[in-house]
Amino acid sequence: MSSYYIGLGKQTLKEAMAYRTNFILSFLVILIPLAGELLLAKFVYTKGYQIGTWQLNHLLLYYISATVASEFFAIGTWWDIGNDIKYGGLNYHLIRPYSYFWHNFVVYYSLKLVFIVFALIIAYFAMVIFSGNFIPDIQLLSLLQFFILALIVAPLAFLITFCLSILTFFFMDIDFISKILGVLLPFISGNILPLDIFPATIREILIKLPSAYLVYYPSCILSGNYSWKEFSWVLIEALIWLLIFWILTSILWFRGRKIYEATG
Amino acid sequence: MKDYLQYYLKSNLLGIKRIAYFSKSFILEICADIINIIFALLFYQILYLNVGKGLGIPISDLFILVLSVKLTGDLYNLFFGAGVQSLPYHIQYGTLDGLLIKPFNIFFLMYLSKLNWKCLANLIIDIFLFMILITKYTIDISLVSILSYLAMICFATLIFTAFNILIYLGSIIFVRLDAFVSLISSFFSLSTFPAAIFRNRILRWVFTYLIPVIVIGNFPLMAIRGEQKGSLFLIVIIITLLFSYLAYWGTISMLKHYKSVSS
Repeated sequence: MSSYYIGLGKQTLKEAMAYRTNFILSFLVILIPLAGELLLAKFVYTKGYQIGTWQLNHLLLYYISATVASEFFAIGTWWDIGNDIKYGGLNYHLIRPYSYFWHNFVVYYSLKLVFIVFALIIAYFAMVIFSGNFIPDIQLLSLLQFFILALIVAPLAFLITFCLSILTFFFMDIDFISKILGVLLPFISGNILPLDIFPATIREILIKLPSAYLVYYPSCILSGNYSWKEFSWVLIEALIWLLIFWILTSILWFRGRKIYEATG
Repeated sequence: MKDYLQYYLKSNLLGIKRIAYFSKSFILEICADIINIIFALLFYQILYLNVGKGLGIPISDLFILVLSVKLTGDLYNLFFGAGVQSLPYHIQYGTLDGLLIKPFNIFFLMYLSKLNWKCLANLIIDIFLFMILITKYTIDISLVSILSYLAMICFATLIFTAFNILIYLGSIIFVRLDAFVSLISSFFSLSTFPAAIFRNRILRWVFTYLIPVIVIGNFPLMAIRGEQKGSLFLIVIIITLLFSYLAYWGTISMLKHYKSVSS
């Protein structure tokens, strides 16, 4: 079975590479608002002020990491899954000897993999332009911690996406979910501002939400120094969210399959 | 004139029926817009709590800046957005013929005949937010400053419309220009930032005259604050005329090259 997923991943990669210009352009679209945030941060620091406890170079790195993380660990509704359920295309997958979840997981992250390669190249140039450093100020330990956390966060992001997408079993139209998420997520995930500079009450809530584990914590880890003790707490909390969404998705999938009429 | 008004009313009143049918989606879209503007204001509020005067201008001015950008965007979407955005579709699928054969001015039909009702609701929300802002922060305003501000918003809307027309006209050359349109449009997300952050002279020039980002948010703010009255209006009138002429010339050229077949 693993050869099926490998083959599927390779095929998706090939398809995605055909649209590389689109990938580059779509990432540039995200970089422009980021440029505004970076210019604003630089403006504040040159006037002698400081945002929270952040040093300017760490804040610049945070913003760039957050932009990349928010794309790679993006959550929302995925049209492929929604359409499969809505128009009866799910039948085709259900009779095949593979897991529908892992099939979509492979396709989803193969597409993201191509995106991330271009995103990293562009993010590197953005970092050089704004910080003036050719080598990013990232500790080896931070990099290791980031990759370990990514192993939890990547399935978590997809689980949330899968969970939201299979709501099509229960609602005719789930467009509103992506609309609301599109507005809420950049703010509550720490993409626009680091969550630790929010007023205490709001901060305490936001840093415990799953969205914080997708953008805020990975970006903080990359741009700062987390001790192993602090890191292990983040990891445990991310694992708890993973477990919660695994259970929730299983329940929704089970119930959704029961009411699915396979007629579209 | 009477015929134009009749056509405008008839075609747009049909749009209300559509909204009534998709009322849930309409309400949700407005909710998303409200959340969006609240978060944009919250962004500066949180920054202000952290750095205070480090942002260079008072918090009330930052809020005016954000609301001005939203007001310009809503005015554009209300009157011109739907028409301008359908331009690539007409060119791509050859449906412009349907408009060309009608006994009305083609500019009116292409850019001004579709009203976006959702944005009318947004405009009411904008006015409501402005009133809250003015009363909460006791902003010093006079009749002249309000009139200057409204005039500046009108100019900004015209510039934004002309700029968008120019982008969408690119579809006569390129079959797909979605990513390009998104890229150019994303520059306007910079309009909610104070002009002071563009410290480089070339950057400031580019964002005033080439991609008029600073004109959209910062010029109305300067108008309501009564800064650089004469020169500000002179600059904005020149930019408006320039972009309007380019949009006019671009549309005429497009119509000459339009072959009535889908590309």
